[in-house]
Amino acid sequence: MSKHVEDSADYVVIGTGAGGATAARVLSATGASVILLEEGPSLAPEERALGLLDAMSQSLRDVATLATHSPAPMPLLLGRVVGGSTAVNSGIIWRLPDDVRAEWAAGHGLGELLEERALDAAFSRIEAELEIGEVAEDTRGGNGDLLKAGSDALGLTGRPIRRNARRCVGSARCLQGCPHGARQSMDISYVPRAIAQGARLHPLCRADRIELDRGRAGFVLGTQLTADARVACGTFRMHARRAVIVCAGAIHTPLLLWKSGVRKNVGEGYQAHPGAAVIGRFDHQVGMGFGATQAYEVPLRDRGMKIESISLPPELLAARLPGAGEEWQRSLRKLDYFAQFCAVIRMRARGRVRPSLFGSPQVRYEPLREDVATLKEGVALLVRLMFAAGAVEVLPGVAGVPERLTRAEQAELVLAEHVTRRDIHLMASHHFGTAAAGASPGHAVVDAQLQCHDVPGLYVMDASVFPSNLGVNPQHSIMAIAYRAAERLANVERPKLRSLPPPAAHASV
Amino acid sequence: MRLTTKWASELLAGFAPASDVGLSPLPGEVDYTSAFMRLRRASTRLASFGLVTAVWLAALAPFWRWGRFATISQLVPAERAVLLADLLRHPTFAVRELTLLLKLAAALALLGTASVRARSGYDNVQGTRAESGMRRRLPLTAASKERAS
Ligand SMILES: Cc1cc2nc3c(=O)[nH]c(=O)nc-3n(C[C@H](O)[C@H](O)[C@H](O)COP(=O)(O)OP(=O)(O)OC[C@H]3O[C@@H](n4cnc5c(N)ncnc54)[C@H](O)[C@@H]3O)c2cc1C
Ligand code: SF4
Repeated sequence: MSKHVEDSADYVVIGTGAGGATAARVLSATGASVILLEEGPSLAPEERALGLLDAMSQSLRDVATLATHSPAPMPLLLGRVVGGSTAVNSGIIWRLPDDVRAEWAAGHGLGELLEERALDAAFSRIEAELEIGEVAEDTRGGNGDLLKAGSDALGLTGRPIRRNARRCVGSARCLQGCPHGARQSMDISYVPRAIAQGARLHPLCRADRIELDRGRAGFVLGTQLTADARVACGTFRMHARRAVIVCAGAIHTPLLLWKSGVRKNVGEGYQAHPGAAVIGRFDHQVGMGFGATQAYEVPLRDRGMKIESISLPPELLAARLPGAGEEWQRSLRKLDYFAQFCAVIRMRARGRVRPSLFGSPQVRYEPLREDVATLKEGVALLVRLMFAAGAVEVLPGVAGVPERLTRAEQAELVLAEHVTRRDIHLMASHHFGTAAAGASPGHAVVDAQLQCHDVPGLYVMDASVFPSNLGVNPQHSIMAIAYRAAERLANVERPKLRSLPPPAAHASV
Repeated sequence: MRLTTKWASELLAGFAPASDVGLSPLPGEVDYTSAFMRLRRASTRLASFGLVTAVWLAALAPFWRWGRFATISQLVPAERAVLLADLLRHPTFAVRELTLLLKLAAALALLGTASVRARSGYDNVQGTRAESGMRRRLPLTAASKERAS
């Protein structure tokens, strides 16, 4: 039966990912009332399915089939669940690199927002609240051990990954959602904390349009969804007395703005960190099924890439192994003998996000020639790392190159002229720039307060506001910038606010 | 649509037919049909269309690939696997990628079946500790407890 819900609060926050949950955590701490809207369901750790199809149906948008509109479509991974993409990510934590901060401050007029001491304070507070720490040796797992061995052998400088999962027990299934609640994703940390501070969470509520109220963003209209988040079962109308804060992520924020009539510069400038992976077979058990999902990294920012160990669920690992019939079945029997590393590329290409005829996102994006060159270099390096780690056979997954390589020198084959973008499977889980922040209304969508240049009371606080990609994993930067922006908003809107409480020893509320 | 589902099931099962070699599901152990239908329902419109296209392309491949007046249904299991392996290595990008989409669906169904996953070795962490030689300290027991439960 169709139902209608109405509610009102000082702030209505759309999306509960890195940006939205952090904004709600900060605003609700000031005593303001906050409504949190989330299209996806709310899941407890013990409800997280182990099987990938079940898990993806629960919490990944379109079971990860949303892809770019390009000759070689690139899948775009997005969480659609309370906690957003943080609920399915690997928990890797990096601060905003100094060069990016400087470039955004000088080139985009964001100096005040990114003021060094204040931003560092936000980073420190988040690190204290979200249990940030290095992956311990006893949860590095065979996959992480092998990347360490490979990078040591090649003389590269690697390190254990810093994550928001100090209590990780190494079940290697972050993509399905952490069943132990060990990873401090937003559904485990800032959303419950905001609720404890008085925020009201409405899961399975998709915002469809934002409307004005006396010249300011004032109402959010939308659809209530059934438990699978796919079928409409009602409507809602939420009143924001002070501000509407859009945090639907860099693919869906521009869509919502566009549908609400905010279109200038919206959806332009999309950037990503596409990644490609290589698999290696070893003559001893690796045990990808144990360890932190991502445990070891080799940062190569000066070369435009970052290498990471990444454990795959068995379904995805199986799909990557060559052949069909006996050839495939032989490999499947020994899934514990494989390791996987990936190269994440800071591509320079820019794309565009627009609503399609059906209202779903249409993402046009194509890597530039120089991006493809960096990508090939990255894949070749992965092949060398695998052999250096002792692989007996490497499966580069590159069309036009033998399916199974047996010598490190064969890494050169990936660099051949005939290998093109189409020959390498890419995937992107870091998205940016579709409602970019900047002082100039001519180029940006939101100003240095992250308020829309064209609509008072309408804010964006997610990865959409980043003027560019970073070359490092972004969730920490998104949280810190949302933290700063929400603090500034609270101070502008309510000068006599209670000051924020000191950082908690643990993230729990 | 019934024909699509029937072919989808035959194709997905065709990637890992009953065999003495490697990982082989028992008859009826894996529900390929429902995995295919769930995947289709949850996918974007375009991906769902891609899945259907992939099924028709592969189901009719005995004809356009081998010149045999047959569909996938008329092939014996061993021939299906040979055909699918051939399509996965096809020089045309679209043929390769669409067949890979079917293989992904097959893998989701196959390894999504708990009994098959248990036989795959993926969760065989005890062995890892004993044999890899890479690990100096043993992994925490919490992970093994989870696996055992
Ligand atoms: C598989 C995966 C692994 C990753 N690993 C890492 C990592 O290890 N480290 C790292 O730093 N980053 C990682 N990332 C990236 C990181 O998680 C994202 O960059 C970050 O979460 C983005 O934050 P956001 O607030 O912009 O959007 P999201 O976190 O994606 O949140 C957006 C939320 O808005 C909701 N929403 C969308 N539209 C609507 C609507 N109309 N109405 C209501 N709700 C809506 C969505 O359902 C979603 O919950 C990973 C991402 C993925 C997908
Ligand atoms: S690897 Fe660690 S953080 Fe990830 S799901 Fe397993 S226990 Fe949780």
